Amino acid sequence: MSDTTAGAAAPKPDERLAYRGVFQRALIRPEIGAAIGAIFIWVFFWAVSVKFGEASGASSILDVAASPLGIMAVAVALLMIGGEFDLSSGAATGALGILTILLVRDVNGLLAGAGFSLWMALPISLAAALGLGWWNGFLVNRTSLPSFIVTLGSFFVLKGAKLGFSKLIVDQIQVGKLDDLQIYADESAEYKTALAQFQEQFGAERVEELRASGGLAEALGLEGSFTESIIATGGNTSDKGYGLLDTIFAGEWVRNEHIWESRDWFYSIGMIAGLCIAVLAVYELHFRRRDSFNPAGLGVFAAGAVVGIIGINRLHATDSTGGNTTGAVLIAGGMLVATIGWCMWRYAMRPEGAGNLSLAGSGAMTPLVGGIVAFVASIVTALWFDAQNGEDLSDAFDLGGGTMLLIAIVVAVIAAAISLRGEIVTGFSAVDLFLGETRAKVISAVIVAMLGTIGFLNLSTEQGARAIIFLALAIGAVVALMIAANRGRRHSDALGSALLFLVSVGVVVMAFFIRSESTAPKFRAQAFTIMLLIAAVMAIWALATARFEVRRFPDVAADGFGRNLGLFAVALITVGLVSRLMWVTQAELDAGLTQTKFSVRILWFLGFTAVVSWVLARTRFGSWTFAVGGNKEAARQVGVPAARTKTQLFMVVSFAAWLVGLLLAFRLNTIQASTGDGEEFEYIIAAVVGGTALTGGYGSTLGAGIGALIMAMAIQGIPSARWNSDWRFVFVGGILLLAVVANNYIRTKAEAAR
Amino acid sequence: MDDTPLLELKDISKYYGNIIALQGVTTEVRAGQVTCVLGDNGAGKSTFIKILAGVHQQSEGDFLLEGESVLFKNPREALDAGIAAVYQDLAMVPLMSVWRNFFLGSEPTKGVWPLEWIDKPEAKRIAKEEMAKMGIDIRDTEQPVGTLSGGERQSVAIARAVYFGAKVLILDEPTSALGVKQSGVVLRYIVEAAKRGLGVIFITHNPNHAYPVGDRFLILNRGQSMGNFAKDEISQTELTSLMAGGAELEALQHEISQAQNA
Repeated sequence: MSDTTAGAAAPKPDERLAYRGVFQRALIRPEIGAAIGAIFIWVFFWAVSVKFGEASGASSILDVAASPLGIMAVAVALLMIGGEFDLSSGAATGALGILTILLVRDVNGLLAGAGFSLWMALPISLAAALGLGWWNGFLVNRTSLPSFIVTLGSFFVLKGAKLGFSKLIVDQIQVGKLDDLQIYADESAEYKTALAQFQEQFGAERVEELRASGGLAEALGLEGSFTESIIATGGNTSDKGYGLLDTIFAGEWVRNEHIWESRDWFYSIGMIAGLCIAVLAVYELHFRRRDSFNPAGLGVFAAGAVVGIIGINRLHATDSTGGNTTGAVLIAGGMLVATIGWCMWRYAMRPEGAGNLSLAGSGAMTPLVGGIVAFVASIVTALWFDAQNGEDLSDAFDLGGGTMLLIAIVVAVIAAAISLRGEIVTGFSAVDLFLGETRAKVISAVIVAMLGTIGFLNLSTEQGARAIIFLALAIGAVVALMIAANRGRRHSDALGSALLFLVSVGVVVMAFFIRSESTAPKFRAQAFTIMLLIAAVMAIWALATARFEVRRFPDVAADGFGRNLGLFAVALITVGLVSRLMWVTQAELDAGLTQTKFSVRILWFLGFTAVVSWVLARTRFGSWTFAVGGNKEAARQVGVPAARTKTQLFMVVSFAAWLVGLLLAFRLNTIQASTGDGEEFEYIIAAVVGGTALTGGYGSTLGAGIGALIMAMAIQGIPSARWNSDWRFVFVGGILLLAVVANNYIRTKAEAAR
Repeated sequence: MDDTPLLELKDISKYYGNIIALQGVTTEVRAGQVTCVLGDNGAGKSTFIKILAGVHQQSEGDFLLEGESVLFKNPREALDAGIAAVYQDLAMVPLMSVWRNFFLGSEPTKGVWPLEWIDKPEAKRIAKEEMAKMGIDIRDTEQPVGTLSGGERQSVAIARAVYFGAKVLILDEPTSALGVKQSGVVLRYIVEAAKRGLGVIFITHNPNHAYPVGDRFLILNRGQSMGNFAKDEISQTELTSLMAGGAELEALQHEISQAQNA
């Protein structure tokens, strides 16, 4: 490869510091595994349950992900990056919620007959929360014991205190109600005094008259404020009258009340343009710029963009099959022309050829054949299921125990044979089969295959079976073909491009099969378009990499422009998604759209994640967090206040617990004494799934937020796929194991490939 | 030319209870020169470096900084006075990027608290520049320090100390964990730092590393000073034998050859 043109800019390239391409840079991000996993899991559940593709599904996933799980997971991930754990964080959410409610309630005259107003109670409980965090940090710093043990102590203290105080004060194992009249103790005292004076002056009858006519508040001189709402309901309200705070902590966006006719335009433009620009951003980071731009390419790019926009318009105007196809084909064609124009405009052509197409010696043959076999199998499966369409599919799966066992045994024998394939050819001894390594291999293959088969036949509904088999085969085929393309790429660029082109053809064929009738028509229609577009992107990429030169050195200008393009793409996609999720069209309402609400908790979650991620990436405190988690002694030696940083981290967690406690109190009004106990492990799991290392010094709060989304999808997806929700924890556990292994594998790979 | 040494130690002693860790040590460090402190394990090198860096205080003797007597109560005071120590473990966080490590604890910021953020472009630029001055081209300062080689890490640590205004640089065994080639690279950085006007204290147990770069040699053995020489007063062979305790080494050689012949 020649990169001599860079010679002038780079003074003395250090051969030990190899350049990392755009994909390698992406792969070493801790949250990349979780992000990819989240997309796969979402697609999976979407294929199984219609609800996942709708706004109501998105609303409930986000709601479950947001609070308490997401907010706490983000804070806990920050603490874990700082090298500590807080096992009391789950119990603290409930404890701080209960404390807040107790403060505003007039509890048996404990607070001299008057509870605090919420405006007073909030700062007090916040101070208590920060105090709790400080205490945890202080103990950990002072004793130098593992925080695992120290905060386990705090956990039991909190757990006991919640129960003890609840019983002592309200004589129940739950504390409520936040929306009780007593909240307005200050105001109600004011009301009582004014009312007593008024009654004395004008008599009780006049009071009743005024109450009936609604003029009492004015007559008492108490209009406005909370007091008026108390008077309006005769002092017996259970309405949440605390206005602003109610909006802040329990507000809701009722989707059906917000009509926006041109919403779908924003959606299509935002999504498609956003994704296209994201692709261009990758191009900018991947290819070498021309020495001087070629304006002719810009013209071609513009022409392609126009065709693409016409395609979007076509897609938007219709819901019919033909319309979808025409739209998708127009968009794909436009993308092709525009991308070629873009590359002609900006990037240098390969000076040498792309190499030959020979498969020999590339190692791509095996995955290529495997991929094609899996591909054909997936299509056969889809055809078979479609042939059953209209009939009672449950017969096909209503198997007796004997049949099931038989199938399991057949699968197990096949698995055993596969596990032995090397030995069957070369010969193996009976001794080894019964005693040695071979035996372990066979037994584990048999067990996994039998359990898997029985579990699968038991668990799945017809929908699930179709989705699992088809998707497993199809994804397997794509992965195998991608491996083939990757190996081919190492052999010669032409071979890599050709194989990648083959993958894109495969995706197109699959898109037509996924279209077939089923109970999830929306998924089919949208998945079809999406798959066609993905195939187009892959095909164009295959073409571009064969013709244009890949960059192998840093280019600050290109990197900066690429990153800005990427940010712009993210903004466009966000606009598209948000407008699609939060607004309705009149047509949808007329068709009887179910009610969907978006809770303000989601905003708290997104905001908290954004702020914490910014702090971690861009501030001194963030740098110090990585440092005290990565090497505390080193950090101290260069002047980082290690103990203070750790204490502050504990305080961030307890602040999050306070926030979650408030969100719970405002949502539920009543908090159980056991609320939050044991949930700290779910926070830690979400953080680990998001790529945060258990050893500290490495991780991502953004990843923890994505981890919370994945767990929410599992919690929501399993019941909505009509599986027994008892299996939820099996799923969560599986995700955790998979995530840890995958994160570790990706990181090692990315570091090794450097 | 001003003849006052940057740093002067006169008859420094350190006792831990009844243990004599260091006794009667005298040496000096001049700007632009390298003073090597040699000694085998347990010779008192660690105690010596800790007194210089303000971790411990001497029990007896005078510690003169630019001619004035000083006593540092903690490492921060020593650092503020311009004495920076680069320890064996380098005080680096392997998983953090080069520029973050470079500025750790003293990050340049923009904005006003609580909206105060690290001036990342500036920090990256300076880190790259300072490394270039040491003769290393770190093209991507986002690279984790853990992926650098031992010599490159040393250079990050040295460049950091130099950038933050060190007048005297103490290097604790910088070459002990390195291979031959890497050691050579680090020795070049040491000369480079001295050329830039710093006084360098180079602590090592390897006379082959010390002799080519040193201007002055202090040899310690079991807490005692075995001598404090300028370069023209001692040869490399003398240095080696002094350091190993001279006679002891000869006795050892004799013993080994006997064992081999037996």
